[in-house]
Amino acid sequence: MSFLQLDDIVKKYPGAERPSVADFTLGIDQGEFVSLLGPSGCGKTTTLRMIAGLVEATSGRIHLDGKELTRTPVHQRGMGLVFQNYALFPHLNVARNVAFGLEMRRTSKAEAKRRVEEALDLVRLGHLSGRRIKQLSGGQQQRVALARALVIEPAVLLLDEPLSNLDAKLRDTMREEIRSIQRKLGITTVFVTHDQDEALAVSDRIVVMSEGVIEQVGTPEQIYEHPANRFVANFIGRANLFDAQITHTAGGVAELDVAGLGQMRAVDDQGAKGPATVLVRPHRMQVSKAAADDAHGTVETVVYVGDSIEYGVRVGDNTVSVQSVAGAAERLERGTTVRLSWQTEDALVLT
Amino acid sequence: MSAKTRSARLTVLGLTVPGLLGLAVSFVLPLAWLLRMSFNRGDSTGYIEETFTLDSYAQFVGDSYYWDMAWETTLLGLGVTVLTIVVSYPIALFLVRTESRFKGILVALAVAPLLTSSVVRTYGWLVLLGNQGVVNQALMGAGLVDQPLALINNRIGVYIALVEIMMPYMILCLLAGFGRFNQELEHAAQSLGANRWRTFWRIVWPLSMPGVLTGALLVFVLTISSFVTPRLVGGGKVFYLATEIYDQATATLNWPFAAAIAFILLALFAVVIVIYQRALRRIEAQ
Amino acid sequence: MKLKPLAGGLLAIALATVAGCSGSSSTPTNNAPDSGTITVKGYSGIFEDVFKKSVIEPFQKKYPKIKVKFVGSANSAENLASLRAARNSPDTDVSIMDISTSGTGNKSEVFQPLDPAKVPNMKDIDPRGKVEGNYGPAVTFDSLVLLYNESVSPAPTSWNALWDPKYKGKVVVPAQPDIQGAGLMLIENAKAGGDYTKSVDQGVARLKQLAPNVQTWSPQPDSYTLVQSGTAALAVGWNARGQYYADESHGKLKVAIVDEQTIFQINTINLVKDSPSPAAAQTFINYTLSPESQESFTEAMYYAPTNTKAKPSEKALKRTSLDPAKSAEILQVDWTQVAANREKWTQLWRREILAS
Ligand SMILES: Nc1ncnc2c1ncn2[C@@H]1O[C@H](COP(=O)(O)OP(=O)(O)OP(=O)(O)O)[C@@H](O)[C@H]1O
Ligand SMILES: [Mg+2]
Repeated sequence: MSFLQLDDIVKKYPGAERPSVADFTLGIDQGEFVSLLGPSGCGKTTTLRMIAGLVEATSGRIHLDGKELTRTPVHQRGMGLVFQNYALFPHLNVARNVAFGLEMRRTSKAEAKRRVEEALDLVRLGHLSGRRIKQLSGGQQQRVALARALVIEPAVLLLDEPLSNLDAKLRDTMREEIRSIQRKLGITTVFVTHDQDEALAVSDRIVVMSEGVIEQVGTPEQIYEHPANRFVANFIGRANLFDAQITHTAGGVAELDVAGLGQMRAVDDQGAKGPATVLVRPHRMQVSKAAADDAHGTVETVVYVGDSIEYGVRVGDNTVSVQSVAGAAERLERGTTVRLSWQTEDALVLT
Repeated sequence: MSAKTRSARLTVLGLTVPGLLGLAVSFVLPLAWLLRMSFNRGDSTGYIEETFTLDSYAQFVGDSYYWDMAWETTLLGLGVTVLTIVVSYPIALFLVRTESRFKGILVALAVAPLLTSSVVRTYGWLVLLGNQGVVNQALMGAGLVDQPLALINNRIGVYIALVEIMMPYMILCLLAGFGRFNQELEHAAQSLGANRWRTFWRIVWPLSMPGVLTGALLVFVLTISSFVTPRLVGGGKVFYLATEIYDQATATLNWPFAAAIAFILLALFAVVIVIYQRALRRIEAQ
Repeated sequence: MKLKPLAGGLLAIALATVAGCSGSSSTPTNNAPDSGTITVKGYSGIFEDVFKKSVIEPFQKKYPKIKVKFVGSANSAENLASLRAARNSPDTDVSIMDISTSGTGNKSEVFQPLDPAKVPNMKDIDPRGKVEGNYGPAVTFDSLVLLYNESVSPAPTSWNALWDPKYKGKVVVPAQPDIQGAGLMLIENAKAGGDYTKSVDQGVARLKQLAPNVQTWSPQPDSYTLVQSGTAALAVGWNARGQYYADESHGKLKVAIVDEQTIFQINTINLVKDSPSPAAAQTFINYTLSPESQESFTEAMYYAPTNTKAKPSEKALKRTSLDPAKSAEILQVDWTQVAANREKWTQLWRREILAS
């Protein structure tokens, strides 16, 4: 059993037609940073709140460090929570917000003072301890919320889209900061986000969810390079998905007949013939000029994105995305007829 | 001063004059007339002698009966205010929290009594609280008492009726004052180890303070200036400053004395408003 | 500083407005004796209903060009208070109220004397109802009685029934300054051998003993309703209304004319000073004092007639306060004295009786 263990968790809100979270089983190790990733409404918050105790699971069990806490009330779970809107107490100043959890634990005044200072220093807000919440910027509020959750030395840190209210630049800095603090403290963390880049950048493992169920659990690399299914492939990073017919498969490589492209090869760890989907990331696609009678399609759009160029290539009814390093190859104009190709190891057969 | 700001100022002036004029005619002038009246001399037949004397004020100040009355009035104001907060607060809290789709209707229901006059509601209480009223019948039916309780024609009745009459005002103020409250704050407090009780006292209650204070001010002022309910429910046995003003003005016909009491009541208002502002400033400074 | 001219201007406008309001009546005085509109202020409720039917309606038939508007008032003091508030531009011509209150009105010039030539019926008024200086005379006589609910038996014959411990919490007495309470105090004071012109202490002492029995000193909506519904068992009230409600309630409320002294209540009909239509108003006053109108009101509501020439039916007369068999038992009260003592007695009641 892992440090934080969720078994067959189900949540069906009263009056709802289907469960918001279903058959959720996941083990999280001590010190691990796990992200819950998925589109809006897929049940991330619900799951996080069941861990926190703010939402009661309809069925299933939650264990922390071997002890069951499925029915333990929120205030006895000792988890640190950071909310999307921070939920700082507007009538208390920064230091008293941070001290709140310690007061509830009846920590001695002197010790509380020391720990509050430490926590504020950790989030680099030591100089603002007397400020009123109203007088803080969004990023500063975020740090106070983090300090408030950390100061109680929680067994698990739960973060619900903590960065979504910040502007893009600050978001990047903050996520690095959260990650480095998490490493420093070695605190087990569950991080909810619907931003794949965020999840890929900071997580030890990512849990991809859709419509209340887990689609895949894995490291960022596994999720990105070996998505378990079309949903994950589509959701994480950009993807070209081709319909294909496997004609032969052996030794982890399949020969396939791809609609519009003809005979191609792809990595295949399933080893079954028949219809399949092939995933190729845009930057793994190659494109080259070809005579019209030999071409797969026509360049429809050309977009320069700094150091790369993105082509939209029309193949039959579909558009295939291709990302080339700028300057590495000849630039193609709109209307150019082209052939598409890929390296076998860059294509993956999905179920 | 640039031409622009001058014309802006003229506009402001133009917009405020009708309001100020209305206030002057409907409030300041009657008050001035009342002040003048309080310096006349009234005799016991109701005859008013135009003069300039402090007799009426002296009559009030020099008689412990009126000091007691002022004290009872203050007590009534405080008592009704506290009781109204106690009974309105849970309702307001529920209305703020509920996610029911009937929330709008529930709020409307809570303040709907404002649509009927307090006189009508007071008569309602006379019926409910009387010896043959529902309350006493229920108590006797349940065997809790064997004689009807005296719930009207005394102070108890005045408190009960006033608290009910004041509830909608209090609920409205509380609802408005809960602006800074959101349930996530309670969740945050709980996650930090606060049980329900401490969550309430440390988070919910302080955040509702502005609403509580405004409601308390409003209810206090409305209570100590109300005379219909105390007169109707009090059975002629309880006297407050406001009922005394009414009696002096319409029964004893001693208008100068009535005017003097009115000003003393006004002074009481002033004291309360000062206290309110002090308290509010202290809360805001937190 | 900047506000000063503004404030000055405001004050000027405001004062002008007030001056406009308080300047003597804007409507021209109407001196026609048999046309115009007059406003009469009197008791609201049952008095208003019966008065309209048995006095105003016949009057309108006789003087079709005079339109009479009746405005109700809860009691005499409120009636006078409202007239006094509108003194600078009176909107009322005639006011009916208790004599102890109308005395104050006469003294403070809310009312003006009548013209004997315009109100010839004044000379036929019972001496007890005549008012010095030709001010408004008595239009009705009434007396204080015991009201009791049908559940009370045997029928009470003495004021003492009010003190019966059986009726603890079941007695209703409208307190001084209401003259029903004052009347009871004067009766008890006299019974105990006191003289109210010197002291009412004995009456007060008696009422203090009554306090535990009293359910309310301020009956809502009124004594008659409380007794009729059984909320109260006994009450002091006025004979005329009592008789009327006794009929109306089919005996649920009953009237006891006790075998002891009682007091006389007199309503006067008064001409408001600066009345918009003084001539028509006096035509109306004269009519209400006429034998014909007096008889009609007595038959309808058992107020005793004040015009000595009025001859109501024997049956009606027996139910009024002028029942010849009882007239000896009227306690003589000088209402001017009562008015002069109003505040003093009210304070006495507050402190001695109501508080206990
Ligand atoms: N209190 C509730 N009552 C009923 N249904 C709810 C409640 N809270 C959430 N849901 C439903 O449960 C599902 C999952 O909601 P949840 O908030 O967990 O999604 P989420 O993944 O956090 O989405 P987002 O990214 O938008 O925050 C949604 O369909 C939502 O409508
Ligand atoms: Mg969410």
